[in-house]
Amino acid sequence: MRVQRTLAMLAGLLALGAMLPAAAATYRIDDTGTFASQPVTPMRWRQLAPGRAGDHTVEGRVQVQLRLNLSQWVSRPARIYLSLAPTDGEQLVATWRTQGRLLPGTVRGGSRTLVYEGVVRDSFLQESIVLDLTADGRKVEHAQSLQFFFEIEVSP
Amino acid sequence: MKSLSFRMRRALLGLAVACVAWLPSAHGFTVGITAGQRALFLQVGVGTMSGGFFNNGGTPGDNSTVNTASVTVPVAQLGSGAPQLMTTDSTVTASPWEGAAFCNSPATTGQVYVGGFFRRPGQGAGGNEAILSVTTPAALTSGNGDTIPFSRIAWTSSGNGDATATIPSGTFVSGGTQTLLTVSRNTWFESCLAFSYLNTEIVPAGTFTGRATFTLTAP
Repeated sequence: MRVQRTLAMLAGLLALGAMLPAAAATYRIDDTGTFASQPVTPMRWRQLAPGRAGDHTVEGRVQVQLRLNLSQWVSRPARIYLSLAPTDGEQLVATWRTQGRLLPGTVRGGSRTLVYEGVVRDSFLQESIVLDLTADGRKVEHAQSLQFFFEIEVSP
Repeated sequence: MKSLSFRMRRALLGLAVACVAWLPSAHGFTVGITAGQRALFLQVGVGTMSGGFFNNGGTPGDNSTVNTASVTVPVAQLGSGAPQLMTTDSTVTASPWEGAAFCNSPATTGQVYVGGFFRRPGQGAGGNEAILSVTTPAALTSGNGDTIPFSRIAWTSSGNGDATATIPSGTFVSGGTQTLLTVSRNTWFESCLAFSYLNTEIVPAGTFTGRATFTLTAP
């Protein structure tokens, strides 16, 4: 009786395992050759004067030429994310437009956003994006470096 | 010596080649950003804006005009203690923020527009506030050398839509600098000041003049 119950539990666990997709592995993508159009992006007040409405947004724009080395994952289905490391103080928001090879989107400091889903076709993915950066200017007290990186998820 | 130099060059060349060969791959890119710029703006009386108002991208300019507020006291009222409302040559009614009519007909109400802002990134300790102050001499003086203490001039503050005036009403001090308003970081302020001569004493006939200078100071 006890053997039967154990076998039933084991079968159940195996069935559950078969239903769950295998955990995807995540890797940082080598983006050697990626460069921004300017080393420092000046953040400007959206409204020079705070005014009665009190708009304290600062914004800046930078163009980035991307070159992602995907040679390890050619012909494999994958998801690619653009991540922004946590920023100092206020969460900064980055929104980007693309030429169509990657998806446009928005990311906040400390999070990531899907920019590609599908089979990896080529060893290198080159794309030009325009990054629009916004933040509460009251909370951006000093110059800082925003760390962007790409991650790829592939099934083992 | 030459051979040493040659050897060094060869060594440097070898190092350079090695560096290229061992160049690490990058796994991310960096975008540097700056904080927003500091800014301070004060308008007393007439000002200069080009390209619209602040709220639609207008740009302020320097304006060196010194406006006047004046009154002629009727003989029957001399020293009666009845305040005499001053009129002004300022024509400003519109707020430079968005152009709304904030003051009322200066020619009849004597209202002089005073407004500005203090922009500064950050909200930590220190440097949080700007100070709006006004400096006056001890007295207004006439061509004959007669004087009226500057403290005989007061103002009433208001603004269309303001339940309470931002710059409080008050009276000038006779010589010195007085604080009118503490301006918090990243805030806008404006009021319309209507000046009055308090007319509390009989003074010799003449035209008495004096200048009040408004200053906005940021740390």
